[in-house]
Amino acid sequence: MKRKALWMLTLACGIWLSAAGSPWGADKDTLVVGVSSDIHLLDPAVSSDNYDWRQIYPSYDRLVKYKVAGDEGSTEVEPMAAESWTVSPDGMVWTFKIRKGITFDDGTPLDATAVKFSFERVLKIGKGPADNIGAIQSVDAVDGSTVKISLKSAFGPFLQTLATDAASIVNPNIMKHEKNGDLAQAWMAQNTDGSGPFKIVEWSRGERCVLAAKPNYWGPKPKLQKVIIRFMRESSDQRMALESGDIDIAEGILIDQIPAIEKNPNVVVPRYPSQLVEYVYLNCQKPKLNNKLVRQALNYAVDYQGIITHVLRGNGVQMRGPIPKGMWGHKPDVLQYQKDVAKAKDLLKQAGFEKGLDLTLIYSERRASWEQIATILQSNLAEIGVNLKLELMANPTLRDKVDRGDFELCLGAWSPDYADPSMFMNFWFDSKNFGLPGNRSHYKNDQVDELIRKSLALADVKQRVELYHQAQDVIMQDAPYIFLYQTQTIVPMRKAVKGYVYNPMLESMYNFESISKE
Amino acid sequence: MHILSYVLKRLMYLIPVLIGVTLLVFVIAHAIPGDPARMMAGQKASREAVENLRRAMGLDRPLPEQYLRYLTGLLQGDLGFSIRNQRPVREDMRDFFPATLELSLTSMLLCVSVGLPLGIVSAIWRNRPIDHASRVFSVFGVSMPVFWLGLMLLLLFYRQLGWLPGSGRLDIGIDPPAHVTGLYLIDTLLEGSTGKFGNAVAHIILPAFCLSYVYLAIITRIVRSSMISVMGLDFITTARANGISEVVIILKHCLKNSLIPTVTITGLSIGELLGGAILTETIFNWPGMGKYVVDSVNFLDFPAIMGFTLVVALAYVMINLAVDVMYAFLDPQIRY
Repeated sequence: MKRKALWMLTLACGIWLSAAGSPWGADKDTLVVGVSSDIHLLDPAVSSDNYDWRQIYPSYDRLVKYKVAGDEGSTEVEPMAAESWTVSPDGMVWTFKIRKGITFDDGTPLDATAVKFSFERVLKIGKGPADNIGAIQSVDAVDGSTVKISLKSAFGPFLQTLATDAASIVNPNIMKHEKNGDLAQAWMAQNTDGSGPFKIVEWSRGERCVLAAKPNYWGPKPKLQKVIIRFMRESSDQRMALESGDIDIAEGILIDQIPAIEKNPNVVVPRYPSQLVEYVYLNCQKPKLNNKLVRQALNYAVDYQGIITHVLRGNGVQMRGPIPKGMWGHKPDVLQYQKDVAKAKDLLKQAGFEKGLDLTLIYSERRASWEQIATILQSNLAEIGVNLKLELMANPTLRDKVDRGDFELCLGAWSPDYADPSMFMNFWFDSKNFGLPGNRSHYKNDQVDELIRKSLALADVKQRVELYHQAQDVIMQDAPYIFLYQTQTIVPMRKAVKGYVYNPMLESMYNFESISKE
Repeated sequence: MHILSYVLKRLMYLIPVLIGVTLLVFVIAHAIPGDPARMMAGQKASREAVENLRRAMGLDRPLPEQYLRYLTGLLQGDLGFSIRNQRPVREDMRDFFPATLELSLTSMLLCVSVGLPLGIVSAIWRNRPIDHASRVFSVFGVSMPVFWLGLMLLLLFYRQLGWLPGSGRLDIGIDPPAHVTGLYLIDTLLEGSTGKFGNAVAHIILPAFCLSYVYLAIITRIVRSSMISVMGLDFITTARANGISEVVIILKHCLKNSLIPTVTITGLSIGELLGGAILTETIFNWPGMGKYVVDSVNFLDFPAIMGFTLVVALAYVMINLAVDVMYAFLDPQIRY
């Protein structure tokens, strides 16, 4: 009887303590990040998902990394595992000198062989990430610390692609886990083996992932000892945990809850201009929309500021041209459409649609704001006599339709994988990229094709910008998309978190190596 | 017919049922427009990368061949390979199913242990204040939206009062117990950690209550109404006339005879709960089957959808069988 009572008492204490203990975010050596999506894969050669990259990226080194200027992230790169590099005059051969003394956890050196192995593995597997370093023709280990990379053709943004997750350098010894010639994909899907500042020590699916700092990391020592990524899908749940101090950073709080959080004195809500843009694809191959006057009219009908003010609550900026502000190649004086009902009506009249026309917009629930935006677009277009039918559908279905060109208008979002305007210009407008790979409006203009392809093959930034600027002028007249806005990334965090640096190229990823807590 | 042969016969029926389920889900899943290879490759992937993936996953093969390959694997106990997680579906089930099972069983325990006495009390003191209170409680439960209830519970007991912990199966900083059964309430005890066990209990209280409230309300109402109808029957009057005590009448005669609808609804509820309570799992960040299957559907992860459906179908059939067997114990007139 006594034992039973004692047991009950222990249980009661356990339950009480679990509720009444100090918040988990109070530990200064541990950072707790609440995120809205689970991880699925850890293989840099297979995953194309920023949520996976969040854990993969700090576990590996790459030849180069994004610069940090002051406390701001930059889209330029600087040496990481590579000490220095040279490029041949024709831009076809890049030679990297690798820093000595970097080792993987088992003592294997990070050398030219490891770089060759990693890049060749990504290309051989040939899944999504292979596109990011797809410019590579061959990789040769000249000696232990020199690696020579030959390209298929000159590729302006090559250096930037080496800072992406796909270019992570993995330990060649992972091959001992290879099964049935899978290049160790099965093992790498659930494990990491890199030389980065952190390593994954626990992953409970759907619950949390724990990264431990490596005390002997070759670069600046991480200030934290542990990072816990807690998967919390519900925005309100994250908000409560942030305000209670159980988590330090909340990644997925909905925009309508932000004003309330800002009132909490223990929380700060920094906003960063992001490269994530939202826009409407106008299918240029469809009757009615193959007339550029109609597309221009649609562009003039939209209340851009209204959408930003009421849907985004001011957390966005109207796009000016296809290249967002903050990315080099942005043209600050390019034509920007503003709401002008009279002009839009006049254009429709010139196009022969003075009596109006019927169009259909497809969209998915991928973003909470799209329902509202679709409704606003419907009402805006009604003002110029366009009857816009709205069709909500599952995201996989929508993607299939976009890929096949089976739509008229579609709401979409895009963020670049590496810091180069080609992520917008060549992906969106090259007629070789019809459908999901990028040219989602199925737009074709030979002059634009020529300008953007020429620019992509050049190494000289000035020349590239010039060509992209010329292309942008043509594109804005052709109006294959309605460019809505570039968003702001909001990262609510406890005041005690210091050293967070936002990098627009690393959306949903964190610089754990330099974050600390007071 | 002997009950054992009845059970065996029912288990034999299971085979065509499960094959039918796989065929149906396979056809429906593949009828959804969309390309899993494209989903997997990432939205900006080139056509070449998508084709490579399609070949690697065997999605380029004709549909009948894909189905037959799946069935062959199934006969060998292989549930297939998750497209999204790139690992056997069996391993996914091993991770996600126990969380749902633990939550469902705890909720059902709560339903039966609260709903049954509440229904009995309501029936005995019919139209008295306690009956009115119990009916208000039940109507509230049946009509309350789960997402609202869940958020309010968290807001009150976690954020405002601090009496119970927030979402998840354990506190953020507590390491999960070694996987033996996958049920934290058992694994923490097997590990010998009462502190972790207490934490797991504290974490399951709110989601279990939230999930059970609807079913608890239904069970209360069903017990009440069936008790009332049994209490009006002649044999109860005879029992009273024979001077049998009221407690024996209520518990032995009335309750036993009114249990059949309760057992039916409880069985169905467990089956439903095992399918995953997506809203409760989302609000309380419970890593169970509901979240898993919604993610799989969004990603067109066919093998994962099929694996989930099979497991749920199996659970439904087994629970129904258990319910049918229980009928025979509850009502001597039922014979197999």
